[in-house]
Amino acid sequence: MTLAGIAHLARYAFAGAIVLAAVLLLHKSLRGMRQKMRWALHPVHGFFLIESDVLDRTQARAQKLYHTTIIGSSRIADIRRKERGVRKNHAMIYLFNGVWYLRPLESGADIWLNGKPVDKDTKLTHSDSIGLGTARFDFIDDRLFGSPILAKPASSEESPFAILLTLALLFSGGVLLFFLLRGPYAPLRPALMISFGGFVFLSLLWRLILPHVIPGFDRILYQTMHLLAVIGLILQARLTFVGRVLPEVTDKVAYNARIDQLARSFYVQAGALLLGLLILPLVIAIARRGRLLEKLAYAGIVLTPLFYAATYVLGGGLETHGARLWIHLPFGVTLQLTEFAKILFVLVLAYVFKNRPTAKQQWLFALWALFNFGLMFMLPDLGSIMILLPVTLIVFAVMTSEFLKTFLLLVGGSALALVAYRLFPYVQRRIFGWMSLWDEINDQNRQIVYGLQAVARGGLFGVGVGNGAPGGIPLAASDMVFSVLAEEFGMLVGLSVVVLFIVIWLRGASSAVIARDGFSSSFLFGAASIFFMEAIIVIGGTTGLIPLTGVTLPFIAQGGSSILAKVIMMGLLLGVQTRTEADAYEKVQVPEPQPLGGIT
Amino acid sequence: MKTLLRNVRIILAFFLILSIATLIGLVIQQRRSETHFRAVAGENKQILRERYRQAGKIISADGVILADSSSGERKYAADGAVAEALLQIVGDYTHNIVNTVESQLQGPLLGNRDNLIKQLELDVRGLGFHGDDVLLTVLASLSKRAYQQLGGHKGAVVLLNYETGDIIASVSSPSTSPTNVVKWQNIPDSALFNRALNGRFAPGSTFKVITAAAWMRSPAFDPNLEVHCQGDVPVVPSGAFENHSHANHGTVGLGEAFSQSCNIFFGQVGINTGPDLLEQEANTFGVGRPLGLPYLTATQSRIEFPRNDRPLLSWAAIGQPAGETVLTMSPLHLAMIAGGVANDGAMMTPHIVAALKDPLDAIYDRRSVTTQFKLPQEVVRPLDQLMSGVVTNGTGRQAAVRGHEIGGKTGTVQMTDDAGGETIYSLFIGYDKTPGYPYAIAVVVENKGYSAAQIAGNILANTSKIEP
Repeated sequence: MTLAGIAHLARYAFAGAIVLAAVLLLHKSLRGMRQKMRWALHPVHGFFLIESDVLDRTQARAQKLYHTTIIGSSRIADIRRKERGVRKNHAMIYLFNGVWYLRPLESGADIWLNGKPVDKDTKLTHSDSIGLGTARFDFIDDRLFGSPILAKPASSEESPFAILLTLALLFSGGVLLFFLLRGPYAPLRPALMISFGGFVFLSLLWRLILPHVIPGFDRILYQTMHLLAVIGLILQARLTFVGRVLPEVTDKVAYNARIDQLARSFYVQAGALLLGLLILPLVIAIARRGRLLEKLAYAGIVLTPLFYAATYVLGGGLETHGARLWIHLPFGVTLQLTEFAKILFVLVLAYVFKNRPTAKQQWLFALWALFNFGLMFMLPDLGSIMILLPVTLIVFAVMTSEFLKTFLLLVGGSALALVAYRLFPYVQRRIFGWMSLWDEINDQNRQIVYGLQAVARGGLFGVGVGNGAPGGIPLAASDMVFSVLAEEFGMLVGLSVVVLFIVIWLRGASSAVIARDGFSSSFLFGAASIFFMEAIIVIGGTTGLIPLTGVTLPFIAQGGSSILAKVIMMGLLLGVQTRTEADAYEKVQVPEPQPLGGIT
Repeated sequence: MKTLLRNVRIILAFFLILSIATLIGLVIQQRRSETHFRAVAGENKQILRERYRQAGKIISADGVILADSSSGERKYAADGAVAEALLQIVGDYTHNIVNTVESQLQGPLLGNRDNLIKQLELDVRGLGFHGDDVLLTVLASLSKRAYQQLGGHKGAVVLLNYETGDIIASVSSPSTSPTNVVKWQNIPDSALFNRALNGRFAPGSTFKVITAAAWMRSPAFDPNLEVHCQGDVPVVPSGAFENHSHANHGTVGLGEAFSQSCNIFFGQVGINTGPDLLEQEANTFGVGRPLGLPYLTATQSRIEFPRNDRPLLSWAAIGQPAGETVLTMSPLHLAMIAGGVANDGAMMTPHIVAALKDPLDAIYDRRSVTTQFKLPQEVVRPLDQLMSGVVTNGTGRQAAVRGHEIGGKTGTVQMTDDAGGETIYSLFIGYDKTPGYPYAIAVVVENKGYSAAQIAGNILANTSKIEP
């Protein structure tokens, strides 16, 4: 049996392993989502309100507090008061930086704190009394009486079978690639083995250590990233090494130079992944240490536009790319700052929406975001806009419940898109290429057509690693990597990859639900949505479902900056998830139990 | 908190819908690409070269390997003349020629199988990666001869087995070597165009077969009709006359007029029959209907003419479109018509692919013998007699083969071909009724001292007996 035949047979195993692992992970994360949504309805421990009626002080009862608690007449208000003078969303009590605050939500919603009217966010301390309509709420800090803070449910789910499948995939893929590199390609074997070996060592090491060191470490999320990285590593090794044109072995100088060049380009890819993994614990530690990350968000307000501006000024194209998103640094290093700008953008987003921002804050943020989007348009980096705009809207809608405004913003965004279509010829070209996809082949859609041909060739199970023909697809390793995936691994694996990104989103969203502070909540939402949107937009683009924009498929596509940025973002996601309830509060001095007097 | 949870649920629903839409969209896009992007102009040559390294063979009915990748590189027939003769049928892996076995059957050739169990069986045996072989009905030897007979002039030959519909030879000239096509160099004008399947030729006097049939079935039919032919005097003012032969046939009846191909007689017959019946009869013979060739595209023949214009009708009746008249036929269709007359009125569905063969040598998708068009019984025998007369003592004497019962009809036409050249073409359609030689032929050749009847005779003289 030839090697191609073995690869062709192995595709069943590959597809089976990936599909099964994806389904297992999806199952676990759906169950986790359900559990956490149920748990989220548990109130905060250590704090509560005592509700009483001014007219009838005998009817006092305890009211639970959530990290955002809405008081109002609305059906979905957490504390419901149906009486005259109480608005739908009357007031909110929320936890911010470990401090509880009270805020009136609607203008004209009268509310008093210790007898004084409240018109802005006001700090709450023990035994404060809130007046609202005929109701009176007394704020109780139960920690003063020794009440413990209940930790959120530890993320103990894991899928050992999915780990086994991932490792089997990694191992068999590595062996297959090892044998595919024969004859003149044999000198490339060390590069393959070193990279794969390093990856196996680090990823397994963290998998074994981190859950024990970090309580609440999300193993499902880590496994999902692990699986995606394995698929990416196999694909990139195959694209870099297999079937590449080599000079004759007899031409020693040219041959060695080419081998070196190929090995180096794979080292960059694998190296970025390994570097990301190496600093993963550090990133997690930073994210766990609450405030530091929020401080970084301050910097992000300035740094995000600066990154885009720097790319605009210093950026250069790479090979055949039209966009100029790469900054060339000394020693031949190229850096794609826009990838890191996305992280900062989400940090700022999370910072702004960590509690319901006032209208003025919202306007300021809108201006800031618009400025950034303008910069992205200039670059042009349509991909970033297509990812960050929906993510912004999602975080906005979830954190503020302003669905009408979100809808209006969406309409406004579409109008803006129309203006962009009129103004920018490159937008017109992209749209034209997409619209004419099934009618004719032109310069604007040739890439997608070749990609779709590959997708069609792949069928359900693919043609096997090394058996495809990615050579002719422009940007096969980066923008069009999904086509190669679909050709060599098949559509089942392609669908599984989409499922894996759904898993990432579900993990992020479910931990956002139980996060006990607004910053964690909105960051988890934002970051998880970025992964998901990015995947959907690049997969939809390469398969002609939507117009193509130059976005990279996280963990799979070529690009050192991209993969490093994605691992860092994943580290932040993993870290913020493990923030415990206790982290959210200011420390209070719990009084020593008083010795009972007189008795010795 | 409840608000947040509600919002999360809304977004969750939104994302799930988005995900499901994406998943479904991906499957749809894949399915759509499979049918839509089989072969596209400007396809990526590098990809194609890589892919055809594993493609199956294309084999002629006489066992000649017309395309093969076992060396790791796609190679075409070793005999250059065979490769040139079958170029437009076999095609090239770069898909520079579009309507070919290489492009239209690339699914099986490249091993894209729908049957997953079969695929798994092949995979386990280590053969899953090999493409399937395509077995053609054409004979490499006869195709080569037919191609050589055209002598490099523009033209086409189609040779059919009229009992089964198998295409024995289908050649189009000029042609060139597959290497030139792949490298896109030294390609003669219109060499990539398959005249045999896609040529749109005016049928000329070969159309008189249909006119005669229409007349025989019309109420106006008079077996004893005689028309006085004075050569250059049109049948009606500005109607048909002897535009090529300029012969003065004198007073002729149907038999004499058919064997001598008298335009005046058939112009009159066309007028007597009327446009409706003529068009109806043409449809019976398959004009304006799909020819039914599987896998490859065969161009449909067309007939359209003004209803109340007797001069144009007289021209159409002799197969020469004039004015607004549209009358085009492909060599494949012409051969099918001749075959239908010889085969008791059954025009068989043509086939160029005999069967497919998977790497385990199992034959599948074998071509089935079916009738495509049925000719009315009452005209078959008279037409057979008329066409025999053409070869025994008429204009088609050059097509005669010693010891064979050949029938046929000649034609000459002045036309602009699809490649844009204004030329005189010589046509011949005919058949061999000798038992064991069920061959029908159509020849169209640029008339530079060549007679289509002569070429047809040379080819029919070299066919071999088919044992039942």
